[in-house]
Amino acid sequence: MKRVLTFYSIIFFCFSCGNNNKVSYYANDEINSSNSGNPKTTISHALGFTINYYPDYKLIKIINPWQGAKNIQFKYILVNKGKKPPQNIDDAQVIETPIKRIICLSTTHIAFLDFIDKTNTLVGVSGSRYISNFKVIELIKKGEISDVGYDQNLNFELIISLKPDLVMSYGIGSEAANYIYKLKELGITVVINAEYLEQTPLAKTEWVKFMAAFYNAEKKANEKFTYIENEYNKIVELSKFANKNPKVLTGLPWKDKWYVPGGNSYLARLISDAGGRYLWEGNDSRESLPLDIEAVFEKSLDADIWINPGAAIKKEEFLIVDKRLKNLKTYRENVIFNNNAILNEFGGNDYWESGIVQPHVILKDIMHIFHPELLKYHRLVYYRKL
Amino acid sequence: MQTHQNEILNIRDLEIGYFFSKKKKRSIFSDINLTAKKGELIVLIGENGIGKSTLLRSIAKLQKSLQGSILISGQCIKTIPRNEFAKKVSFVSTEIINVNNFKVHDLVSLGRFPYTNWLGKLNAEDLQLVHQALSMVGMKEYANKNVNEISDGERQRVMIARTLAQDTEIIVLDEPTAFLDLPNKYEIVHILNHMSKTKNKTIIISTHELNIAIHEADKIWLMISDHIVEGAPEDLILNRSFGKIFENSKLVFDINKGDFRVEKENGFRIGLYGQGTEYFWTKKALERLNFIVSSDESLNLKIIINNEKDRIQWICQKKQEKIIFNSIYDLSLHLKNL
Amino acid sequence: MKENRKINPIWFKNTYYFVFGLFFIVLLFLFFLDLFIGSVKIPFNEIIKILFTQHSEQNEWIIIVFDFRIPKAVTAMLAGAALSVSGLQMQTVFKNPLAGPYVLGISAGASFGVAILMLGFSSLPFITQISTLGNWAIVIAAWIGSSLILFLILSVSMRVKDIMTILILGIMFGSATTAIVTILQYFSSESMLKAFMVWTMGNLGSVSHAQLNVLIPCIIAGLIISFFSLKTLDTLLLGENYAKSMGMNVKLSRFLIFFSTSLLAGSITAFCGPIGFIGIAVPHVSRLIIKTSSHKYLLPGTMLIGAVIMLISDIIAQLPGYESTLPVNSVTALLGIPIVIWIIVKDHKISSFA
Repeated sequence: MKRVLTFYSIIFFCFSCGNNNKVSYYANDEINSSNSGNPKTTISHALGFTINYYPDYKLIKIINPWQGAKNIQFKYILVNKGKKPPQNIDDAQVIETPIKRIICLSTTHIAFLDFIDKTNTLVGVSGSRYISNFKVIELIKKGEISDVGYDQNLNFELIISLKPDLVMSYGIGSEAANYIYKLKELGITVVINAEYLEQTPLAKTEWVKFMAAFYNAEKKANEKFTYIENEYNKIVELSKFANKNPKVLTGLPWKDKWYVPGGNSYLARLISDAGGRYLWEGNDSRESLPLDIEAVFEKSLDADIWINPGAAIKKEEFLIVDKRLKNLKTYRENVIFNNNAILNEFGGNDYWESGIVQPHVILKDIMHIFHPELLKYHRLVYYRKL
Repeated sequence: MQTHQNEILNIRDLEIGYFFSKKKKRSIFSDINLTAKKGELIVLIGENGIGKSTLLRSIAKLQKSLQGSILISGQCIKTIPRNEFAKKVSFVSTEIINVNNFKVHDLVSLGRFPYTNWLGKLNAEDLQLVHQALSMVGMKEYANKNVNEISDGERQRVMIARTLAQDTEIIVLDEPTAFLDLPNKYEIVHILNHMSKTKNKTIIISTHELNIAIHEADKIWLMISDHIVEGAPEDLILNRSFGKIFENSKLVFDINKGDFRVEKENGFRIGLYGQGTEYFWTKKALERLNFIVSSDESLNLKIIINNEKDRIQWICQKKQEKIIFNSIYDLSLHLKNL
Repeated sequence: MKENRKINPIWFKNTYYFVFGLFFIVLLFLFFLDLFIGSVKIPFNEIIKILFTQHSEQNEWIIIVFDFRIPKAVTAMLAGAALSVSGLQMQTVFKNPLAGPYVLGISAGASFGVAILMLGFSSLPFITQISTLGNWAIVIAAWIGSSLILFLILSVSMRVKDIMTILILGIMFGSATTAIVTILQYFSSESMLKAFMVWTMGNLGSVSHAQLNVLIPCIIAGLIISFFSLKTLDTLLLGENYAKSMGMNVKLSRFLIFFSTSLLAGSITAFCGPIGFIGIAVPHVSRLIIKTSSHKYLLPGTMLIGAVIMLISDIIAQLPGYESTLPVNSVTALLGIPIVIWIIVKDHKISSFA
């Protein structure tokens, strides 16, 4: 029942947060001096966290880490081993760096770890069936990484016995707060990684810097990120040379409803960065829009390209869900692509794992789909044609 | 003799009871042998819990009997298919019917169930029978009233009209006069009697109203602790069967008066002089007060009834003392104090 | 007497036909209204043109009217009629004014079947989520689930004499399946959970033409069987004992009524998901309008009124003027509850059984 309520509350939030979601934007941190020679990190895309550097410690602030959160902050103070934490820390949590043992509750976090080559510090994961990273899968098979369960079924005893320095979690509403508080009660250090709330591809990727801060690996993270950022921007520039901008449809209907991402969402941003025209670009919501199937249908009859049709793998599956979809131009002309090219046998999608740290590759995929003439030699990585 | 020609119901060695499972059963009454003829009004009498309802329901094929057979016109009821049986036997139970927005006419029409088609359509003959049924119970004007809007007595008559519409040779009613006031009780029994005589139907009812039974029944089926006897009411009174009904209680049957009274012990003897109805009722009052009325002249205590000048007086004479009372009530107050 | 003339059977019959005809006209009106209302604005004259000539200025409008609106309106009428008639039969056979089409555990069984499909199968390896969302897969799963429960109940009802026992069994089986569904929900993935939730909210708009080809005969068959039960339903007003004494075959009539209910309510639930409250409320509404308990009048009346009320619910669920729509279940509940409360308060004699 609780899960049911959670979902009703999520759907409700989807409705209510439509245009009201304002996340306060924190100005760039000032950097007075670095510590231990590590380059200071600047955050230019992500809105969900900030890092401030002080002589002997770093202060990380997590801002509104779940849907519907307002004015909620989590503060973490990271001090190197042996150093003393500052006096006036208020409600911040003190964490010793660098950490040696980490439990990640989301597969995206694993990708972040891999980004800075720290997968060997992973001792626990959540939902091992859905992981795509080969190194981690090997370690799991060897028994060096344990599955600690997920959501309500977290195996607290196992977590304690793993003696993690850090548990990195993600929160969906106040329900997550329950197990987070429970973990804290047990003396475990928990931090919330709210990457999934970011609405632009680069903002999501930028959370590697968050992960890197715990390992004092900012240098590597910054270098790699800057490279990716540049690649990404190059492609955005390239898109401006497209001779036409295709109209793009997304999602898949279920019964009478067709949920499409809002005009201000992550997918919408990807589409516009790749030079496409999202059918709902005028909308300014960041959440999913629950639209009536009739309305979406009418709008999409002459869409040029259809991407991200839910979890569909084959075109024929569409007709199983709703026969009327065969009327769509995109269906008849076979211009449907989905981001599930890399799936493991349980349905775990690498798009949400390594894809998060390779936004430039994703963008290239989409660019190639929209304007094949611009990226002639690119072969699709995360996307595939249905 | 035409005995067997007119016989419609024949119960042989019947044992009634309940089946708990295929093997387990509970017997309520056994060795039942009874007969009924066409046009008879039969009253089933017995103390509470002896099995009257079970017997009636077994006859109406609403309950399986444990042993023995029930024959209607010589045919065992087990072999009669349900629809055919419904044309032979109809039933009125003690269940209270509570249906809103249902017309009397429609309820009585339900009685035509065994005769109508799958839609329940009534043809002219059906309608006429329904009409006649309503007339016979005196509910013709109520045809369009709702069943829940009429009185209990009227509703009972409607249920009886339904059995008339069902046009069966045998009609079984379980305590049809319960919950009705006295005039209605007599009304119902009168209707039933009329039905049996004019339509030659066999009507079997159970009742606790012994007076009605004695005065109206053609035949009584009397259930006494372990056996059942049948006969005309007067037969059963004369052969002392009536007295055995309530053997285990304090009631005794007064064979001269034809009613039950509580057996009183150690009554005080009192003399009573008078005649006519005043004598009769004063004697009843004295017996109620636990006196034994005698005409022994030697008794010390006497009551003399004086009936003159349109005024009745009771003179209580104890030895030489005489007190006059103007009502039996005052007399009884005085006697109680003695 | 004036009073007698008022409830004269001939007067009643004439009034009945008149009211029936009136409701039929209302039904037609609502049908067209439902075609007109939707999240895409199509002018009324265009709809008429599309209906009769199958041509229009805009091609997509033709698709919308024929593939979206007409199937939905037809489904609404079928659902309204089917659920109301099965609710009426259940109320009569169980002599209970609160009985509805789902007392035999049909809705619970259907949810059970669909839950096993969507929540259970989809977490197995190599089964794609989409395949478990297929329309026919869900219909079949729902049918199997409710048939299973129904089979259990039917086989028990053949042995058990007391109708009340069957009622309680239906509720118990229903609770058991609901418990299992809750367990499945607990262990399932988020997206399938949401999809399952949407299914349980009921949906009139996703029945395709091919599916209508199956649904329509099922409903018609169910309604025809219910007509065959007219006489026995009336007789059951007096209770099963009296019905037996008048020659009714209790086992056969129970079977027919249950079978009709399972065809009617089971089919609608299989294709549209569980739709509540219509089955309980509409028989009471029709008893109020058609002032009789005789099923000869009540059954056709309930059918018609059910279709009308369902169309009204669908029109309201469209939220004319807004882009989103409401799930139909919430509308039927919001409509049904006040209706029943109003009827109970205003006129104590609503139910056939006090």
